[in-house]
Amino acid sequence: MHLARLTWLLAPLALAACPSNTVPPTPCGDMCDELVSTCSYAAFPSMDSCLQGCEFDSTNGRDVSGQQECVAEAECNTFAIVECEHAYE
Amino acid sequence: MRTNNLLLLLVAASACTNETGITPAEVNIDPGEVTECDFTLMEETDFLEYDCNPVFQSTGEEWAGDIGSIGFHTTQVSGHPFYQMWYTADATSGAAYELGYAISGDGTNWDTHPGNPMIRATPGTWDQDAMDALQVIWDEDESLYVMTYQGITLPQNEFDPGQWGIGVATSDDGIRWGKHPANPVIDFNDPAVSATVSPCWPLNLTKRAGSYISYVAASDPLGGMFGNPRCDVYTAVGNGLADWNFSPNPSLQAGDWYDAAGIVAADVVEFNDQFYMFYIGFESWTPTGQGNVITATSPHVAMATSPDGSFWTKYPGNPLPLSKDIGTGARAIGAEVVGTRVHLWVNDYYTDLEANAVGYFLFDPNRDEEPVDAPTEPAP
Repeated sequence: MHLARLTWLLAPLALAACPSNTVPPTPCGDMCDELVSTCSYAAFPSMDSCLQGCEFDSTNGRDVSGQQECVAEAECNTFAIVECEHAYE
Repeated sequence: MRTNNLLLLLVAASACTNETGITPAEVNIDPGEVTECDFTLMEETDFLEYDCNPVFQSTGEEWAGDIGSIGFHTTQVSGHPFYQMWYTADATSGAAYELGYAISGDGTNWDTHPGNPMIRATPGTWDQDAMDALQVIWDEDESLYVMTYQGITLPQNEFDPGQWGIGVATSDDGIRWGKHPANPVIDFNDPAVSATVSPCWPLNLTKRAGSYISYVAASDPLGGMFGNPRCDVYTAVGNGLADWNFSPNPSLQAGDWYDAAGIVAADVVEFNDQFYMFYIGFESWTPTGQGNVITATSPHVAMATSPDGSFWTKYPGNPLPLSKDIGTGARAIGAEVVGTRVHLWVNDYYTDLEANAVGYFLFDPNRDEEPVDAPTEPAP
């Protein structure tokens, strides 16, 4: 009984920690949501692929927060989004 | 019970590897995953051809007629390539040429910039008649796009040499371009230049260890005096963008049957721990009927490698089956490394279209034996 109660408590926590079917509220999540869902760029075969590349950039020191703001302001202007990459490389 | 609690916590903690639940890793997209058509392996080669070639013929823009020269560049957004293309076109405005800019997320469908054209030919300037052989790089040190090109003022008669040279233009956004005040930065008629080499046209621009390096098709100083020149590849090193010095000897010699008269276009990439030059050689020269102006004919695509970019060894399997081998057809080639592949674009003549258009190819020597469009394994 006690174990069951703990499971009830912990299961939502585990689910909340990793919302695999939604875009996480992080700079990478926000930027990939814009690039993949809003702008629908063919360059990205999936949301996971975008997140993978973004997280890789982040671990290599890129200012992903700044880039995400730049991408959001570009409003799917591809020419501007490419320059966001240069501005925060 | 404590064991069970720890187990549950462990499951919760290991359910994701970071905030996004994604393991950071370098992206290596299979191009067939993002294009409408597949790529087919060309028999007994490491090259694949896009099944729906050509991918670019005309932009459909009001200002632009036939496409002339094309310069390619790739910028990776979160590890995913966005392909950039700058192109000259015969201008419907009456100008000799104008320059446009387009971007593609998959290398096949191109969006043109609404502000095109970016540059228009100016009568009376040294490059009033042509802006050809475009090469574009992103200079990380200066945060600038740098373009080199061949500028031409055509001769008016047989005694007029015209004006031929290499020009430079720069841009901080790929849209607003400014031509260098020292243009032409290499003047083909300058005796100081012609004492070392007799330039034909620029082939490629790159920047290594802080120095600009341009591969230029050229012959030795006597090359054009006794018959037509053979345009080998020479290296010019830039001290900045306005001061260039040529190597005294060619870094790649033409002269095989498929490049008997020289090399008309090339692109160089660093790939698999060496340098690759993808180039278009040509067999012969043909008079244009415009003064003494001659043009390259019977082109073939070929490849050479080098450990350091200084001297090149031709691939024994040359020529490559990437061109139609027609007339003056293949006249430009672009190469970009993306992940474990080299993406190639060849501007060639398509007989069914009765026009030049751009074909899309891959060089994929690292591939598995599986078809290129096979699903890839998910990232670990």
